[in-house]
Amino acid sequence: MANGTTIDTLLIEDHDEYRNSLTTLLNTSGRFHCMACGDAEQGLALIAEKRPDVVLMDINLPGMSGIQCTKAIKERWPEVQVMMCTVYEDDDKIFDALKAGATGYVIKRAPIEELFDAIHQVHAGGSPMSATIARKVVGSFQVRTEVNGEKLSEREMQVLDLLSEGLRMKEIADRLSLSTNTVRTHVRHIYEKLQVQSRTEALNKARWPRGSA
Amino acid sequence: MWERIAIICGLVGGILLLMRSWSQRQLRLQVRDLEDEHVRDEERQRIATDVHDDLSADVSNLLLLSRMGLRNSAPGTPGHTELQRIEELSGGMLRKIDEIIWSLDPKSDRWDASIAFIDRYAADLARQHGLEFRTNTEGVKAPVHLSPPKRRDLYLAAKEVLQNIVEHAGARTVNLVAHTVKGALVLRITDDGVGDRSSAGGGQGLLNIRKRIERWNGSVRMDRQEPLGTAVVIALPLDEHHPNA
Repeated sequence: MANGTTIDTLLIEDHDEYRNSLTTLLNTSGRFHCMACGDAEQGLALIAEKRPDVVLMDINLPGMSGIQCTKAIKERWPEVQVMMCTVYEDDDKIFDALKAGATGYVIKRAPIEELFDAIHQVHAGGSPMSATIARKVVGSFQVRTEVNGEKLSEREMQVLDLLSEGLRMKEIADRLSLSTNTVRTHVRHIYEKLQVQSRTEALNKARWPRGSA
Repeated sequence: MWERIAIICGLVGGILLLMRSWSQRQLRLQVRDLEDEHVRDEERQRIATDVHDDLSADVSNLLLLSRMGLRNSAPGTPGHTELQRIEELSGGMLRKIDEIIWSLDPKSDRWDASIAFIDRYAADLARQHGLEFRTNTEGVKAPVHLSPPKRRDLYLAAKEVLQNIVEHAGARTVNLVAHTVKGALVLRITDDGVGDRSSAGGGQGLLNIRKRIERWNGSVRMDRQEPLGTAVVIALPLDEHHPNA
């Protein structure tokens, strides 16, 4: 899908100057078609109308936050991929966004080619994950194995362990004798299970407001 | 006889009263300290947020614009060198803003935030210089506190070690291992380079690193590794548990 055709993207970013620059960059690249708006509410309306492939989401937005907006998007249009776009790798917020359903993130200072690749990857079903985030995911699954959320397969655990050591996808593929694409798929599944897990957690909390889990 | 008992009772009562008012005073002072700290934390948080929202958004845009300009101009054409300088400078500014926010934000007082920050710096630097980077911080266990000046010194020391590696070691991989032992945080940074960093260039750097760490009664060791490379081990005593941590 990504080859030959352009990827429809929506940028939700409240900083006017940055939004204009990035939109121009994506639209002149020949690889993306980019719409843009300045807050989550307008963003949801645009998605309902245009159904973009990938949403680039700023975390701090006026009104509804980028994390809440991600949750709303995934509930209504699970096929739309959300990628967080952030100035700093503030672990807690990125981690919350991933739990809310985002399947990747990119740092605003990343080189242009890296940004393009990240959008392509997310669109093609892959999900980038840094060592810091991988360690948080490991921690999250260790704490809640007793809750009836999703568990990780042995293979997924191996991939996650190597990610948290700082290995790149290609190195992990070599180490485990898998293709890079297979490793990417594993990482995507880890993200999905993380989301299921956080939904189960939220449900449990709603059902037993006190003293459960 | 009765007089004596009355005097003793009076004295004991007086001492008890004094002790009570003293302990109440202590309690009031503690409460005030906590309140002061809370106000300070809120102020630090506010400044960090302002810097983040206003300044770094603009500089991110500047960086992006310079890169867009560079994509459209060939090397050697007028303005290309200047655009390159703008790209470098704005990238450097973002790094500096990042450090300011990190040192202001009360959340950074937690050790895991400090380690994550060093980890991130190392990963960025390794990527820029095409080095492989491995990290393992599983051995960091206790929820302990590092005061702002202390974690700043730890970060700057680690930064210096890493810069020495990319500039002098001729290494291909860098490893960062962090763990806690008996009230101390131990950071072990190893490389597989051939350069002898104890003399050329590394000498002054090592002095700076020592100064920063020994200020907090910590220690720095530099060992050659077999068959290749150098290990720098930084040990830093941790602070007492923080009431708000």
